[in-house]
Amino acid sequence: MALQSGEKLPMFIGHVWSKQKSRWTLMGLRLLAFLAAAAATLVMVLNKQTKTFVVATIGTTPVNLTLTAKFHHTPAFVFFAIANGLVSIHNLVMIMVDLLGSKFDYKGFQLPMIASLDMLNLALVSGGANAAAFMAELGKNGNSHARWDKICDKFGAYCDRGAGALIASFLALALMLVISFLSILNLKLVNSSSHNSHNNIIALPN
Amino acid sequence: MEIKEANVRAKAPNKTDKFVLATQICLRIAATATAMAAAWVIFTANQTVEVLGMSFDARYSYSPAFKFFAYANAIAFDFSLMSLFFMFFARHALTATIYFFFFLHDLMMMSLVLSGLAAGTAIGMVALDGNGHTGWIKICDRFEKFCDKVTVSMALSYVAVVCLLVLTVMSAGKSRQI
Repeated sequence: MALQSGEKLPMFIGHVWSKQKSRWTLMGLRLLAFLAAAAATLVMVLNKQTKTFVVATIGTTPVNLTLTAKFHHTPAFVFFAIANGLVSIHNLVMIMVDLLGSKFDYKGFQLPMIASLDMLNLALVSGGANAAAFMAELGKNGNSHARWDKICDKFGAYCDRGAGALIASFLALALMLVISFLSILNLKLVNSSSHNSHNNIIALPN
Repeated sequence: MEIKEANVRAKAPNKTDKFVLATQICLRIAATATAMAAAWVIFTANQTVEVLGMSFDARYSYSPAFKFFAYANAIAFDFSLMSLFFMFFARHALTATIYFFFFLHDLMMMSLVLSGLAAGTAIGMVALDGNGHTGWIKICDRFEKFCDKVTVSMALSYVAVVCLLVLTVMSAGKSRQI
């Protein structure tokens, strides 16, 4: 056993947490995280607003200025879109591996690889979501000390859609946190049960 | 029975275990020191500039992103220091479950510092280059010393994140063995 004699498992590991339940819980969470991250990516990439301002009037003809707000004007939003895209691809690949990957021989590296990749993607989505969140806060409130004006009073729809993408991304972040935790728990469970039985958490080749 | 034999077998600390423990303690010292240095540098980064008789100043508290970055590094320093003391004083009694809690702690700290870094970098790039589309002008040509100190603080924080990442992976690895 991976635990020494007389040591108690924490409450949440144990007889209640069976292998099948663990597998389907993890897959359900991955599906939710994939949907959240994909939604965040799509909403941010398609975020665009064009507005025409009247800046002057020459005689009776108004002089118009057309300004467009696109997501790729801000490097932080580009990073946000890329990070969420990568996280959604990661979750999709992990679901595929779980469903279809029982034929490959991973040489014992499957669970550590899954756990490491989950941690890396957690770091990625955390970075993307926070960078975009603070850029959005700057756009909403401006910064009087640096003489930066807010833009959300002029481009309200752009800001609202960006806020929606941010909420989806933070949801994906919370889900990735839980998924990371469960992946490491899977490692412990497999190790502690490998002396007892030959069942595995995720279908590995026998 | 297989299980009883595994329990009865004595666990003497071999060279690999000592190496891993030493690496963990060194990395924790590095993460604590860099987080503390990053927090210290940004807390003390002030600069006042006189332009046309008016004085403008720059400090970390003028931007919520820099505030978040500073507080994230300070919190990471506190928790890393506590974990360092815990690991040092409990070094002969480290089990898989304790390593699991170390893993959770390191994961949380890495996420926190990385979030602070992302926020600070995003706003720092706006301060460094400006943003032509929104009409935000750069401020780093006026406040050179402030911008340099913030850059140094972020570089130290990046080092802390790398240390914490390696610590997370090591703690996760140790939490399933023993």
